[in-house]
Amino acid sequence: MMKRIGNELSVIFVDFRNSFLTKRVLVLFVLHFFVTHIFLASVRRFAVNVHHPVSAYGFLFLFYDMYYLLLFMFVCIYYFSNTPFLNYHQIYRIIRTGKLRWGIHQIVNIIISSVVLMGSVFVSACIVLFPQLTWENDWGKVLYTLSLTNMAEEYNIMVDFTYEMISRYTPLQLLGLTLGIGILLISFLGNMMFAVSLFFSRTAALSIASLEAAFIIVEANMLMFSKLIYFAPFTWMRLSRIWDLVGQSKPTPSIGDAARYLAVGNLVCIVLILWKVKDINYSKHIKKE
Amino acid sequence: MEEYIKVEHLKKSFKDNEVLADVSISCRRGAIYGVTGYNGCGKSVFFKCLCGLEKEDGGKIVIGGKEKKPGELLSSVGIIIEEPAFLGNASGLKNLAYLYQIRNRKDNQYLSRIMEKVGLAPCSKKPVKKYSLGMRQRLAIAQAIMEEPDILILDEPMNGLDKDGVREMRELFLKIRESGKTLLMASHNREDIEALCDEVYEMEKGRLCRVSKSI
Repeated sequence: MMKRIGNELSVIFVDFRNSFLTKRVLVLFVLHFFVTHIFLASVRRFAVNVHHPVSAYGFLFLFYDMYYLLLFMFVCIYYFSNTPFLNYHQIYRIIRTGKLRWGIHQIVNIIISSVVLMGSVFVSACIVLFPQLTWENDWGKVLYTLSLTNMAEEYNIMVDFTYEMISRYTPLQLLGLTLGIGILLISFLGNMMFAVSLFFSRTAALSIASLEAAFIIVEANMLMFSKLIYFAPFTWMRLSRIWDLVGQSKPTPSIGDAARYLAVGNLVCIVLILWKVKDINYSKHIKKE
Repeated sequence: MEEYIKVEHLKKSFKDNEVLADVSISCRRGAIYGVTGYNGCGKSVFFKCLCGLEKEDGGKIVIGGKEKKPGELLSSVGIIIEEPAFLGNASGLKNLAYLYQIRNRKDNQYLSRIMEKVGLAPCSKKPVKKYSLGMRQRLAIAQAIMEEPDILILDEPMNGLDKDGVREMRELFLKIRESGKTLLMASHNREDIEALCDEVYEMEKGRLCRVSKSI
């Protein structure tokens, strides 16, 4: 049994490596790195001036900026834009795995990809902040100062180092919360795009995903429709707006509810994928390489 | 002789375009069946329906006495359909090992022999993206035959091969036929069809018509 699971994981890993190590993804990560650089370079400049290192966990606050979040979500959408992942070399694979097993492999691939995409934010933030980095489980003087004073304005720092989050959570706690919600959210995005492309088309999957991403801006600007946040799951990555995390009474889902909704969303998408993947049609879904 | 594949009144349309109107064919073990026809007549679509990559609209496909559900993939089939595509950055042997592993098998020595059989050097580290079309075609043939499937579906298997390559592959396919496998082959090349096929069909207006029987 263990040998079988090991073999399955090995097959999935080769597939993941093949989809990941492409020029398309490389270009995407370079662009993503530059976006992260725009947001964090001023933080490093501040750290250099005050002669104190920045906590490596500072990258968690990047997601609280709606523009960064929007760009990150478009990175994720672009990453999954080759859904339903059926290209010519997959034909030799699908004929051996069968359609259902192939579908399960793609779902696992989506989950691995979401971990890697979250990891990519951390890596690019570390590169930008290097060598002004510290790895202790403490927010450090730089982030405390930026959250409590107006130094962020003076240095044109775009990241909102929310004091409520810094005072309530240790870096590791916030890392756990952010990774948990982030992985659930990106998996949901990938699974939703996979399901929509199976039922309709790749164009429909891209349109729906882009619309959801655009809701990050729409929701932030339409204050009279406060309930809109329930229909904009991408905004749940802005943990500083989740009411039970910051002790406010805003009409937002609690962190537990957000995780539950995303888990259910993933589950629904996975059921739909497994139901539909048995009918995947070569002519409709094949993508030339 | 035992009838192994039986296709009856197979239909397939894409929107208003009826590609397969009424395709019927019976194939036995240990024989090669040739399908000819002009470009776009539906040969590839027929093969895709047969192996399960495409879901047929109507008709019946029976394999070894068991009716196949529409769109269900065949369990023991080797295919070459359209252009051969592989993991571009990996070597030929690594590509084969990856595909072989999907069915829980590992045997690089055996795969090396298969590569030699199709005229490729197994120890070459050259990535497949640097292969010529002929080399990729040879690799495609290797992946189709390596698990010794009961049925081989070959859409233009000699594409891109040089003269020696064509001769070697003909010999290989005839050997596979002798081992009791069923081969279906689409080709525009009359010489290949004449040299290899036991029965030849022409796809015309969505129907298969037998044009010759040499045995």
